[in-house]
Amino acid sequence: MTPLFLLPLAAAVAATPAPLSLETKVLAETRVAAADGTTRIALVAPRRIVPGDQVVVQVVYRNAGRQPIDGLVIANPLPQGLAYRDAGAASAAPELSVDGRTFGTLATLRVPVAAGGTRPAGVGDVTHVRWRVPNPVAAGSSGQFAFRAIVR
Amino acid sequence: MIGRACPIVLALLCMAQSAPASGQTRAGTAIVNTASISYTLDGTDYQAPSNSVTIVVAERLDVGLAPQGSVPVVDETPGTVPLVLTNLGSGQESFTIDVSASVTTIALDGVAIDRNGDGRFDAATDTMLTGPTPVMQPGESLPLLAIVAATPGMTAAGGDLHVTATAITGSGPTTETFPGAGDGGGDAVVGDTGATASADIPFLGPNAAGPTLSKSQAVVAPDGSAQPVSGAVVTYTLVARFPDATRTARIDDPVPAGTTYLPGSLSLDGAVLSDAADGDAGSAGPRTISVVLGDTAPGAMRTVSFKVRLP
Repeated sequence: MTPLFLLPLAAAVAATPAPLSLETKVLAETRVAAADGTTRIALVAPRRIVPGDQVVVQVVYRNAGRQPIDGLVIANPLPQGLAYRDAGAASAAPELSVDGRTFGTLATLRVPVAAGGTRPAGVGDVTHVRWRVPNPVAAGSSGQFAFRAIVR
Repeated sequence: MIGRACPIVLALLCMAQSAPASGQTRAGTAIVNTASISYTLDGTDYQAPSNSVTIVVAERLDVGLAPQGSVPVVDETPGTVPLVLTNLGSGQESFTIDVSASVTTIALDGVAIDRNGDGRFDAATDTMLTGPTPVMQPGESLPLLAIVAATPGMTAAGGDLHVTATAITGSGPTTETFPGAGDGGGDAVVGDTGATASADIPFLGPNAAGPTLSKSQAVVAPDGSAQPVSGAVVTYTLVARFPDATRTARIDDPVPAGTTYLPGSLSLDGAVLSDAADGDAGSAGPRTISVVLGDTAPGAMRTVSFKVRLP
């Protein structure tokens, strides 16, 4: 974890009370044939991955406490070996960053170039994603986000 | 077939494939994902990591084997047939090399690593293989020499040398998986080549003086790589050599089954030939290409090429 991008949000960082949990999973998209001849995409634990494969990174949060939780931010630095592709199906689109500090949509991001100056960022430049949950998370409720990535 | 009394010598080179694109994550690499959460409870800011999930990049097993040079002439002095072995997989791998021949009148004296790549065996520098090859890095190529000699009874027509390279981790149908057998303890999975490659190399026997025809190929995929994927264009090049004057020579080559001839791609010595069976030397159809060379002078060399698209 890169603490830097959390600093503005966590000026007074305290230990986590047990009620709020965050679980991440890395899943593979698999085509499953149905009896009626159609196929649907199922998410399964990846049996094996090789460069070029697409995976889905899921984060699931749960407020198991008795109070609502405010200001929930879930951040996921892209691990080495994964390249961001897009938001997961049925997930809110994450805010993206190419440096872990400035977040926004891809169109707002630029990366420095060796010759000086900057160029528009591409999906392959994304180093961090995050989701900000706008409303308090009620006690007992949960939610999830996901993004798709390619194994570099 | 070229002229009369000419051995059909079509060197069926295996697919020319490039090394894996650079920058690919190496087999055995652990990809670890950890998210984090931050929030406010009772006016206090908290942050915490999620669990960490680790996935290990599987080793893709692929191999290429390409004969080098023209059709060899084998005589009773041990000679060499050069090949290049390439680790087309994504991990470190060694390969077993097997050599057999279509005739029994050839002595197969083993396979050597051609350390200096000169195509000749030199006991001082080159190393005989006594088992699988040394471990090869992804994309690494190794020049090999099959060492052969004619035994009494070999005819000028020669035969075919059959060389096979197989990944020692395993081979078989594409996507067959060997759990835990890959680099870094990850799985190994068979790639498009089946993790085995073979080359049939025609050779001529002692005193062969007939024409020879060697065939090579180059692949250009839609993405610009040399991977033989669907939609890739393969350029076949046939080089006919005529040591002596030859009459009524002609080259016929079937378009490989399943591929589609690219109209207008037939050429002779760099000049395009029409596909129709008309005034020029060539004709091409969906099944075969044909080029009439006619009478050739001693030492002549003619080059025919055509293109097909992979299904």
